[in-house]
Amino acid sequence: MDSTFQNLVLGFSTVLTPTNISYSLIGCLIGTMVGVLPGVGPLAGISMLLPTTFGLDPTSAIILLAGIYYGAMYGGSTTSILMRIPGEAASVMTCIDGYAMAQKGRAGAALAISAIGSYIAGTLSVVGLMFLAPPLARLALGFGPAEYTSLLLCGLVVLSYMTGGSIIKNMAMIVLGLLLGTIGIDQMSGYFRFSYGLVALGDGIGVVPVAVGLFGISEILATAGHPDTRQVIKPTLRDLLPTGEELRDSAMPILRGTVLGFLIGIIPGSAHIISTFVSYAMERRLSKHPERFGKGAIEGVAGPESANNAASEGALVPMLALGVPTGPIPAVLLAALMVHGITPGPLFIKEQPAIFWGLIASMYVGNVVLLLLNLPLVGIFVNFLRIPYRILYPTILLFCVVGVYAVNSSLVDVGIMTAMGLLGYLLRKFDFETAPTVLGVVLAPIIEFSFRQALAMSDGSYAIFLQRPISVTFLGVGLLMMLFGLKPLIWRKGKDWRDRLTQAEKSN
Amino acid sequence: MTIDRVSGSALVLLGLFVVWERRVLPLGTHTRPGPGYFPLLLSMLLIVLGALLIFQGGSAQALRSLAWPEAPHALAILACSAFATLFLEQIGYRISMGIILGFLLGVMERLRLWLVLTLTLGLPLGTFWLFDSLLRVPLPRGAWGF
Amino acid sequence: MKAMRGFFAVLALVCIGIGLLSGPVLAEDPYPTRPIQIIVPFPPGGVADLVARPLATVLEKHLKQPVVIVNKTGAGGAVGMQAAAVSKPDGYTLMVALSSISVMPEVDALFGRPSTYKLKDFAPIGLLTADPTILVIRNEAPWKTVADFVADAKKRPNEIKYSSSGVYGTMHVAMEMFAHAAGIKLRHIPTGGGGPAVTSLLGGHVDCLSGGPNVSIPHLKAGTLRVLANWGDKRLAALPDVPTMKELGFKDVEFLIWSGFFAPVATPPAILKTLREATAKAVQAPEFKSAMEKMDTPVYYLDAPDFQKFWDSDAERLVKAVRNIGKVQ
Repeated sequence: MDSTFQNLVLGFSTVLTPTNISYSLIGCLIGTMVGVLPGVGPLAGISMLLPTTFGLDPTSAIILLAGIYYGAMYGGSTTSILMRIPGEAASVMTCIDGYAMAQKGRAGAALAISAIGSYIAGTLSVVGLMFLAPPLARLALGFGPAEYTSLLLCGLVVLSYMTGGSIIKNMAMIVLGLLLGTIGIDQMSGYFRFSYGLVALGDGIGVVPVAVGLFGISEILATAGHPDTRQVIKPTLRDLLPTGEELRDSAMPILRGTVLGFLIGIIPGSAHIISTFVSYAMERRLSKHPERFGKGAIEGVAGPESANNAASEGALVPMLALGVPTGPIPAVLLAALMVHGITPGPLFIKEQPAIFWGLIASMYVGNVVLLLLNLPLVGIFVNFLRIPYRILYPTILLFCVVGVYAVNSSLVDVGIMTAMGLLGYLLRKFDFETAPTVLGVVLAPIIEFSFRQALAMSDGSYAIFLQRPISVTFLGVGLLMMLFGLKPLIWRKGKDWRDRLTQAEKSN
Repeated sequence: MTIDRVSGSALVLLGLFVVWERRVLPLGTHTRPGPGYFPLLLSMLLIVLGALLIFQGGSAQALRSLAWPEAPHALAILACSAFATLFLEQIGYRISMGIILGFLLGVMERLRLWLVLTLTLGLPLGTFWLFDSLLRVPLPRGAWGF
Repeated sequence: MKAMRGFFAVLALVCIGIGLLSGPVLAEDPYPTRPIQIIVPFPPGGVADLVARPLATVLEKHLKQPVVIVNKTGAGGAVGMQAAAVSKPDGYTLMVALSSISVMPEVDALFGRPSTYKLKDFAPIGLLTADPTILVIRNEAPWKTVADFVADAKKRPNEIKYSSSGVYGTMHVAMEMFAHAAGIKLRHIPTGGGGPAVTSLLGGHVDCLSGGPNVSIPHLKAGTLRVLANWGDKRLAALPDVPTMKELGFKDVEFLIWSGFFAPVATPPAILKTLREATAKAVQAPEFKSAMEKMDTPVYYLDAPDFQKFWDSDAERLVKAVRNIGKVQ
């Protein structure tokens, strides 16, 4: 405990120099900007600035890049709330309730809670990172393909709680997303699936074009030219700030989202977006009024946004503690360190305390900076809603095209976005939810791949799923939850929460 | 003819399409699933769900009652997006975006001329500078270098 | 009046004539006159990217034009390579690629699909780095030498598991090359990339892997992993105690993960010459050398003609290995 405190002091002394503070500030600014642009996510932002960091000293370099990383998580919620366009793939869940709140005039509150939740999640995660990094990282390594498959199967059961409405329709959407996710090279055998000669589809359809298309483009398709265009909302100061009730309602979702996001983020290979989906589903399940979700429930914003930020910091745990990247973004951060001759590994914390603790301290500082940056910006951003939609939507189209193109310099992505936009539009018309499809696209490669990897490891024996402790735990949890869900069908006592939900929706 | 019946049928058709397309992929066995295994599983699920929708779909909203007031605008936006997909790299970012904005703002929305001109010129040039020069993310320059 | 018109007509013709004639003369601007793009077919932070970026920075100084990196990822690199293959051969679109470039057309042929590009679509400018892969195992593993490993593998065929960065990727082909030469059968567990492959080994889900030295060196230093052999033709400076496969008697088992600088094959020779000279100077630059050394990927430069020879013999080896592997399913 003592040494941790000393190390923290060391870290802060490294960070609180004018140079490093300004790098943190610049990183956070760029990250926010990058997050606000639809489609362009932290990966693109970090890769853009990677070369500039070659000339800096390692601590400053990593502070700058890390600032972009979580800055983007903060910024990603802005367009989601204001215009229902995911600023980056992980902000998809915020689009649902955040945008609904904006339409009710509570955009400022949504933005503010999102910033506050992100701050709390970020800071608490850094604490977790500080104390728990090495043991957690080792636990994370124990996650092999079998554990992964069981985890995700259990997750799918949880996610059936995600959206209201017809279960059949939701399942159809997940299956559709899963099918779309199979497009591309099959990593186990090398076959191209459903790619019709387009090499660019080799790596699959990609979450970003799907998310931006299904949410952003479909939104402008549905709204532009609609006879009852949105009233231009003129927000007052009171609208900018969350009410006491909203703050109280968000407290537990923020905390739950933080823990959930952090744990999911640690697992190598998991995507941050999964943490937002699970958080949303959990909040919905735990809420006393689940029918409010989808229509502007603040929990639906607070939970996912916190989970998002916590996941991005959790993802750094294995990288810093063991030198093991959990995904593409930590891999780039790892590379940035390697370029300076520093290779994070098991000895990193011992051999380079200044950099490790400097990074930790910079994360504290960065979170504060971002909170201070984002709260006043709420007032500015909300004014975007004043712009008449007739001028706004072509601009939105332009930014969506640029954002999606910039990710991989690929026009195929823009084409996918267009197709997904059309699909999203039709789905809305025919009363389907689009969020499960995005989840399916993300999950399909992971679930299938882990499943087949696990079978390859056991040479075909299905027993592997029951032989490993972590895997058994998850399967057990999933089974229990499924049984609970089926309970009303067997007992027929009292109304299930779903029936209450449908009743509530019908009476609205 | 309700919307659920229509969407259900669409899902069934999609499922059948995938089953057909998948025939080139080996199925493998239960112990060693091949590339075709999962797509087949998923498409069968899709067909089942679609069929369920068709059966239960009687109580949903009628197809005829669906209103499409925003359709002309939606088509325009889709056309612009498709135009960008096809021509952005050949004509260059700035010109294509200029055309798209000009079309949407000038023709579809019929805004005032000075506003249209400012936005049509300002936005493509401004965003190009932002991305290409400032952020060093190359945007397509078109066959003749602009 | 008619004379005036006649005069003006002749004047106009003369002007046009001068314009047409001076066209080619005026177009003799020295290359390059605009920014150059280097396509990297791999995601940022990967080996190819980390070699290309310092190269670009140094080339900018020699060519006096901005040199921009464009990551065009997908299909194990095929997307970016195809884009480079069909780009305009005017010297403004170049590519930095890895040794996997030789593998992909062969894999396409194996699956009977039209190849996305051909090796002949590219003109080599220079080889930049070349690292052999190394056989990495966990520290707790019982094998002390390759001989132990092979003996164990022969006793229990298809039991020893190894991870790779993907089917037909560098780690897969390298290991299969060795397995084929040693007459053993190992179980292949593909993962989504180099990073996940190492993670898999660290977590004990597989028993060994064949990968580039730079990702494993920190774990080697920490003592969690050990190296048994190296796929190069000589011992590595960083790992002087590790024997090569050749020394151990497995001739023809050589696998180098190299990165090279390419241009579309139809690029004019004059431009290629400029690029070759600039690259030769760039790899000597202290910034480039130190950047490479910091990543434990030392510079290994070959100019275009030598590179072509190297590439051809390497490609031959890889193609044979891929054919031996055949279709995985």
